[in-house]
Amino acid sequence: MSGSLVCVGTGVTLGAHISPIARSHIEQAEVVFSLMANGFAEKWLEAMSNDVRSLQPFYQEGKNRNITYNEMVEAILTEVRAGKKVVAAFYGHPGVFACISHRAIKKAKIEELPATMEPGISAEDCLYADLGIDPGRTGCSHFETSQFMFYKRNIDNSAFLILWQVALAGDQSFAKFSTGRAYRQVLVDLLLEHYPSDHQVILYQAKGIAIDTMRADKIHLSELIDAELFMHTTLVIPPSEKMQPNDKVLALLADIDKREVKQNNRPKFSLV
Amino acid sequence: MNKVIQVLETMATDAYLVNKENMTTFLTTAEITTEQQQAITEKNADKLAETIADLPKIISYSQVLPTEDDQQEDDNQESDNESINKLLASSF
Repeated sequence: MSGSLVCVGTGVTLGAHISPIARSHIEQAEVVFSLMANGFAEKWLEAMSNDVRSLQPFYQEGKNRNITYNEMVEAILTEVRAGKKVVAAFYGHPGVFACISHRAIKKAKIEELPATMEPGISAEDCLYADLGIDPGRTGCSHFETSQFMFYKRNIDNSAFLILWQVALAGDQSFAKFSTGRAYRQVLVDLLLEHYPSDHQVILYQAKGIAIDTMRADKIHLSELIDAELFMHTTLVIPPSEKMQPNDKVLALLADIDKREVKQNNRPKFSLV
Repeated sequence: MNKVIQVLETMATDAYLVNKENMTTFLTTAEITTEQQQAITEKNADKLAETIADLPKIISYSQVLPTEDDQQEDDNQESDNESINKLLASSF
């Protein structure tokens, strides 16, 4: 019998965010691999299936996370290749800031094994709800913090800028559990090229379990260096400038509008 | 399922328990220890964690790498560090 893989998201808050189809996949799987954000969620998942295998043991401080992620993918695919009905359950959304499920599905498809993804409620979704941000209002860009630092980016300070995994800012080894003050200073200096030092930013953490309190600490950008950061802390930088009209494009559009009006007002002739 | 995990799940899924009084009543009838009830009332996740003997310790990353690309998905793990270093070097 052919094996299969479904990558599901269990959402961010234990119990509150899992979709009926994700739960059903977990309950009907022969093997469930799990990568949860806290011990409570891992215990919760363990109760849904007889064979739940945590991917946590693959993580080790000092070990390159790329190796870790490839090992996780291999562990998942080994069971699919063995003909098992496999579910890989990830906290949040399995495809958002989550390379394991993308890699596993890609590899499975190359091997002609059925593989699909079911979405979950992501930390990004929670962020919009908790902080009252509508990404459609001014626009919003998201980056993994270190990637934001390693590559040249066009920063639009009239839109929201959201930096994920800020506690690991500047880690080139991909092997640390956190980086320190000196690394954050580099990040702050980079941001200060675009934002004032007293610009108010938000340190955000979603609720992992029902009794958690959502974190939305407002600090000045310069205070980020000494702020208490955890692996699941996200830096939210609101716009510091107003959106500037693009006069050139607006003029082009106005011309089109005029031409359309002219065309519409032209007398219509019909053959009799 | 562990009773206290069940309580956490119910709390997260039942809108009736948003009300503080309903929540208090629910907790008194839930089959959990007094310590666990206190930890939940105080909204103290660390204290609650201490009451569960076999609660796994979790490392929680966003599963994303700053230099994510196809090259990194190579199975040859020994070359992974090398390729990442090359990518990083070329980016500066």
